[in-house]
Amino acid sequence: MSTTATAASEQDLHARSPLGTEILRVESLTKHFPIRGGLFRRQVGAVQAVDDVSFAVRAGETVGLVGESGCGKSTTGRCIVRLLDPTDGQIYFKGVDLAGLTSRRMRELRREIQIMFQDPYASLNPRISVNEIIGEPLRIFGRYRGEHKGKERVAELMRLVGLNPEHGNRFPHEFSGGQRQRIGVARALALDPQLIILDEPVSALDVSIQAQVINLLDELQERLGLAYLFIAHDLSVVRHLCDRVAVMYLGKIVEFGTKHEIFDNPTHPYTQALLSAVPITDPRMRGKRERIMLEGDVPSPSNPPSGCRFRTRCWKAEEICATEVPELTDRFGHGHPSACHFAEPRAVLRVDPS
Amino acid sequence: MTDQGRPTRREHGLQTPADFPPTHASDVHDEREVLLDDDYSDGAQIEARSQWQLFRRKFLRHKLAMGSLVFLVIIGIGAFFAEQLAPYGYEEIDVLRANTAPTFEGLHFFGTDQLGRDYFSRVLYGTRTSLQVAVVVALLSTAIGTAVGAAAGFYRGWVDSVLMRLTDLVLILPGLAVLLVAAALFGQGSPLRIALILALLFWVSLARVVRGVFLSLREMEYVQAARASGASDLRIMFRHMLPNTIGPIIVNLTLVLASAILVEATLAFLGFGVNPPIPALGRLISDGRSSMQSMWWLIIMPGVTLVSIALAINFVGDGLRDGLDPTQQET
Repeated sequence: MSTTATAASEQDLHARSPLGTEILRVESLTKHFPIRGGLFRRQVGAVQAVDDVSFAVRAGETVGLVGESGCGKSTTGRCIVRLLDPTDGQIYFKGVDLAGLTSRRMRELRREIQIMFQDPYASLNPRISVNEIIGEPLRIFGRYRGEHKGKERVAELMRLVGLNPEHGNRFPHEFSGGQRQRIGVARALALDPQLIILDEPVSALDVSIQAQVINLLDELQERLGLAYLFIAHDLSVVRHLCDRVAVMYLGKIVEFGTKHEIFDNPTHPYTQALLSAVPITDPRMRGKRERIMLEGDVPSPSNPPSGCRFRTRCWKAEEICATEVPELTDRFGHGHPSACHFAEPRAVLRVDPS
Repeated sequence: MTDQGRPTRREHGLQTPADFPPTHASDVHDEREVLLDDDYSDGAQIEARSQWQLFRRKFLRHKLAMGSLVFLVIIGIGAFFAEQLAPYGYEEIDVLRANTAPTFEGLHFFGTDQLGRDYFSRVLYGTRTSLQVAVVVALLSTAIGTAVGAAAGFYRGWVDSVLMRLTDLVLILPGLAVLLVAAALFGQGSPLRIALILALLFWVSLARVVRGVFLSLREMEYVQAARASGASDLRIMFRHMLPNTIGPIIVNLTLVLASAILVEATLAFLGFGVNPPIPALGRLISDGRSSMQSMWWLIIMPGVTLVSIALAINFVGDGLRDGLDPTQQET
């Protein structure tokens, strides 16, 4: 229990941290899924879903985690709430390593870190009413009965997310996608957490409904001082909501920085390619911006390329990329680490009107 | 963080689809009023519909299931109170009235057999025996099957391997042969013992079904969400997974109920069922077989009883399944 000795006391863990102080630190998080084969189901390989990922989240801020499908964003999120057990690495919540906690101690800390899921249809149990869905975390932690007034708390939560508390007796299928995501938000908020992992919370919604849910999340953050880890692949949404952004490719973070650094000053070729694919809303500007087209497909995470994982699709790749793994370090003194041997800023989003 | 604090949040203007006028709590409220089709804000009380109420309403509208349920209840009451209701005892011999076809005279609704025993009374007692056996088999095998399947599907790994190999083992046994041997060894007696033997063979199919459903449910996001909320294994199983497995379980229960009646009848027919003095439907059919050409009622009466009970159980199962699915719309 050496980690807890240096960590904050129990009281501090559940107390709110002042805005801006670090509450979550992920260090060299690694998650490999074994591939079993052969007669005795021996491990013959591993899908390296997340490999040596490190970042931190501060109280009250939103950190975005972006990347293509299958790059390990969601796996990272699920490791943090211990829905998956990390293969290696540490996850410190206010100094306590979650990765090493027993399930009993982890249960205690779950109320501080909640997760919200992508699919508004699969994330709510169709058999129980909305009241019970939102009230369940309260019941689990013994905050429903008696003086806790769980019923009133549930109504309060429903009002908080813009739902009519009178509809609490209804079942999930009686709600629309956006309303269901609101229910998901209410459930995540029930225990008054400090950090919420948002696992693509709006990807499954219509664009107009996305806006409502995002504005709701934004407001709640301001009101309740929540920290978000926002997992998404929609860059415009990330730009709207996030303070800092981590870009992932094939299980690794390739670039990490403030929203402005990432969007205005991307240095990693992958980030640049990703950003150049963002659609331009102004029709007059269409076709005037250079587009970076990547060749080929994402390599298999069970057999990633040596050295830099992006080198197989990178137009800058040279020999060193195959032999040496580029470190994720601050290369330009902007406080904006980038994992590329040939990192250089390039304003791909800027459009030259001439 | 301070340098790009809140004020700069929306500075990117029209780039984002999310850029509708800023919403405030009150706006959210208003928009909700529009979003929901029916508005109860004028003070009308909404009727809180519990899952039980929903189920009851749907089930009551299922005419075939309701009719079958009524039929089963009547049969059940008749069988349960056989001693009070039967006009004669099942062993009461009246040689003078032997071989009577069904008649209202002397209340021999189903006629009499070669010894002059009242066949209606015998069928009534026989139904009681068969139902007793079937109900015990159904409940017991459902309990075993659900427990085994749930444990295997939830914990996976070696628990799954052990339990499923056990299931396979039971599954490959030649059912009838084992039943006959087991009945010969321990059976030949009380309905309860027959029921136990049957239950130990009947749980396998349900175990596999429940395992399959659990395997898919445990990856559902709502199960993950419950886990992330700190729910215990038992809570996840009983609150989130079992209720979503109830459909297959109910269907299986009714299937087992119906087939247990039939298998018990088969056993009795082959002479390995409940001890001879106590009538069972299968034994009645078996005994009546020899003179079925001249005395049709000896086969038809218990046979029709058997088939209609099995059918009615299946209809009730249909109704239960439809009623228990909250996503199914009422029509």
